[in-house]
Amino acid sequence: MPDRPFIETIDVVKTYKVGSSMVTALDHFSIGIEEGEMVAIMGPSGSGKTSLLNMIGGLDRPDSGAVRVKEVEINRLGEEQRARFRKNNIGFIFQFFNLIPSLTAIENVLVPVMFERETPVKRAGELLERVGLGDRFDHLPGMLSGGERQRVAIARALINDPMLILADEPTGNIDSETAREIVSLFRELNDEGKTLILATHDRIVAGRAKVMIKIRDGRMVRGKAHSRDGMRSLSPDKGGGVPE
Amino acid sequence: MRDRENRLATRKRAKKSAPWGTPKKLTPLGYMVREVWRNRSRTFMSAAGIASLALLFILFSSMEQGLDDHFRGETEDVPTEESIELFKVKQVMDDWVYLISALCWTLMVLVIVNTATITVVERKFELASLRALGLSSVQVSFLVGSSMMLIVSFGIMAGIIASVVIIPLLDIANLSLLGGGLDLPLVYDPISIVNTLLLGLGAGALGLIPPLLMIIRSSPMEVLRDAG
Repeated sequence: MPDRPFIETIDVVKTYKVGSSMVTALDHFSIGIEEGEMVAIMGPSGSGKTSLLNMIGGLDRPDSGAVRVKEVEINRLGEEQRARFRKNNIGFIFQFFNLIPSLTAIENVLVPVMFERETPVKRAGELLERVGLGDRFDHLPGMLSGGERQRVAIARALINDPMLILADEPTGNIDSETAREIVSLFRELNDEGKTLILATHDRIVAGRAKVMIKIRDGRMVRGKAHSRDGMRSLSPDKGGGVPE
Repeated sequence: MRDRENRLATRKRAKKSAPWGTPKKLTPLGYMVREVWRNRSRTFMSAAGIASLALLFILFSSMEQGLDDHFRGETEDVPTEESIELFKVKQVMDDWVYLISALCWTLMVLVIVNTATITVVERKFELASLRALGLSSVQVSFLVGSSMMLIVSFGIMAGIIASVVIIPLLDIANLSLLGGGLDLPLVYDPISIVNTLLLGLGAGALGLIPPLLMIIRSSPMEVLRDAG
């Protein structure tokens, strides 16, 4: 049996009820992503980018089809099991940062592990140092700029040393200069072996990714992957492709 | 010049740091207390409501105890026609005291349901984020539930402390019932404190059921999608 991709969505269908009508967010969507990739998912608003991230992150379950991450079919897991899977394997970065306003930067980084017996304060400090916020440990989110808040969110996503990082419009709420810095940070993480999937509107951000997937109306319309031989197309019919 | 600007900027930022400084760690208790403090005006109003109801509850318990003591003196001898009448009056008054006490308790449950529901609705984005970050719905419910129980405990303690001061004062003021026809002695019963504490915590546990069900049943993804 051939090795399965690190992340795999197989014929995923997801519809949402919006008002009185049903909207198809993902329409028989299949894709395979290898470990260590940096993938940018592009598409207009409502194309299904966030839905795809939510499926991969186990925040939502497909109506039909399967989602496998690290050979675990996460759509079959219960709510609590998916929460545990997320905590141990996935780091989330949101467009609006989603920091807790009453907690300092370092406390926000520690939020995913606050129920652990041993709180990794030292690691949280190191992560904040790493994202360039070594002098902002005890600053509340309200005292930080948009870029700094996103850095705190990145440090928080890394606290459990996840193998997969999902970022939903990570540069959607920050200026272009800071966005470039954030993307450089993503590249660094990717170079260290982390798998990153970014949903973005920003072409510059997408251009820094190794694999670019365009989706529209819940279907993949185009996929490109950087390889040793240059850019290579991924076939939407074959469920994306796995760059070698 | 640039160095000086940087130093000034760093000093300015340092002044803006959170007053409690860098923590040794983040615990659920620390998070919970911080959240209670962040919503302190609501915390205060809810605790004040619960305190008032706890005070009323203890007041009525004292009244009931006072009625017992008062009528025991009147009716403990050989029953006469008059003492039987008094006993009937006492029973009616007892019923009213129980009814009003039950009303106080119901109001306490409603105050808790109301406060906890507002908390969950207002913080739904934050709670959904916590779940997206890997906290289970049980852990998130624990954070919300325990912060509400903290408020309930504050309220009940405040009500008990207030009762220790107010009830003896009312007794000295010789609270009159039945249009002044009957001077009702209030008897401060320590057991009523334990009862209030237990019933208050029971009201807290009961009042938390609907908002906690809201957390467990909600999908973090839907909340985050709506917020986006």
